[in-house]
Amino acid sequence: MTDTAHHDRDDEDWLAAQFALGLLEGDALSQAARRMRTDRIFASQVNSWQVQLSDLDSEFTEVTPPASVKRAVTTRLFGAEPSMLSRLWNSVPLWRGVAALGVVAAVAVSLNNPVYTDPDGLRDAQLITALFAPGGEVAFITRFDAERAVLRVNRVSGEAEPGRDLELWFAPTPTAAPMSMGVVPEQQVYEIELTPELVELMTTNAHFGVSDEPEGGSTTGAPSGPVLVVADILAI
Amino acid sequence: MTAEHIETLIGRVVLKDRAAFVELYDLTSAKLFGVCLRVLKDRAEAEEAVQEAFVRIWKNAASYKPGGFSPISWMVAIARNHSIDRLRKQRGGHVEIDEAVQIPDSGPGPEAQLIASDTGRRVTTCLDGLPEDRASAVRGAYLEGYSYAELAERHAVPLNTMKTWLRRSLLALRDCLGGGKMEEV
Repeated sequence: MTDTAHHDRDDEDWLAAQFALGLLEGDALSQAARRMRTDRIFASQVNSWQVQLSDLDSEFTEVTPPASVKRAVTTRLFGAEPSMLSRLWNSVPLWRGVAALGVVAAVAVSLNNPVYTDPDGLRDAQLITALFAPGGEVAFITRFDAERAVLRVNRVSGEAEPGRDLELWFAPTPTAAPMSMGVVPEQQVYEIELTPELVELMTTNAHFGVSDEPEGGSTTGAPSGPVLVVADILAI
Repeated sequence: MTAEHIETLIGRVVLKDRAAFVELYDLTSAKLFGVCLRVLKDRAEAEEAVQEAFVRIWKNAASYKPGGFSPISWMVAIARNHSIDRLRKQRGGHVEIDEAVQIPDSGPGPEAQLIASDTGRRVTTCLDGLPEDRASAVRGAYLEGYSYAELAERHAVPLNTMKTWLRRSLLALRDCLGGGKMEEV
């Protein structure tokens, strides 16, 4: 390595360190911020510094915030004090019960919604979900076949580690607790038969996710391992 | 509060599980509030900052990837970045960087993986190898969110000297983390 190259490398690393520390200001900051989005090598240098420096996190002392902060956060995210219904709706044990009963409770709520409730009013839209994460190995595409009441799942890439399984999850609304759609089998494309109740829930309001679970799937009724990908149902 | 448990909760938050979010808040809010308070040094400001941090955690949980940051450090980084952002904005003359100081992508980049696998050395250990005032300046920048001007004032050195201190210290840290000898700073 020449001296100049060595010097350049130091400059780059130093810039990344300053960005990670929050020391940059003004134009230097704007430029570095832009590079964070466009320059993968630079972004990974910043990331590397952030991970290394996080070793100092143990030196931050814990201070319990007042209860008003928690109320403010939950109100901002979930609206006013949740009603009994929405609390039940979000309770995982209930979801497990509901799933076992064929999602009876969910029907009552969504009965009036046509299958294709999308804001653009598209007719004959296909409901698909593209599950992938930048840089991630796991990628899935799901397509809802309304006529046959099945969900087609295509595992585009990725497989579970030995002794682990991938599990597909479905949540009918942005805030609903996820319900298991089962452990992902070995074949690349497979179909899940949907109950009429589940068919009703296949809307653009819903989302899917895939998590990494112990062999045989989560035993808790909710994702117990890392969630690898998550994506909304889209109408195209 | 184990890392695995926090990671599981973040995973459930990705799927918008509110109960998991509330548990995550209960387990980690004291740490995050501590971070905001340390950087902002003002209770009311810190309360708003920690609120915003948790809103971002709810919205951006999907960007957490296991393997780089410990899950709590990922959350600390969100709180810290946001607090520094607020701090600089308060003082004026600061460009809007809400977008800029992005929630760090928690997957370790190739560099981080390299360093992590190369040596078991850690920043805290390597900082001990620096002269005390240099180590204190690095800590001041990370833990207190001090700017160059503030650090220069606190250490009673000219601004450019402080920049040189930090540059040399950070590059020496890098070499130490990478397994090399600490050069004279």
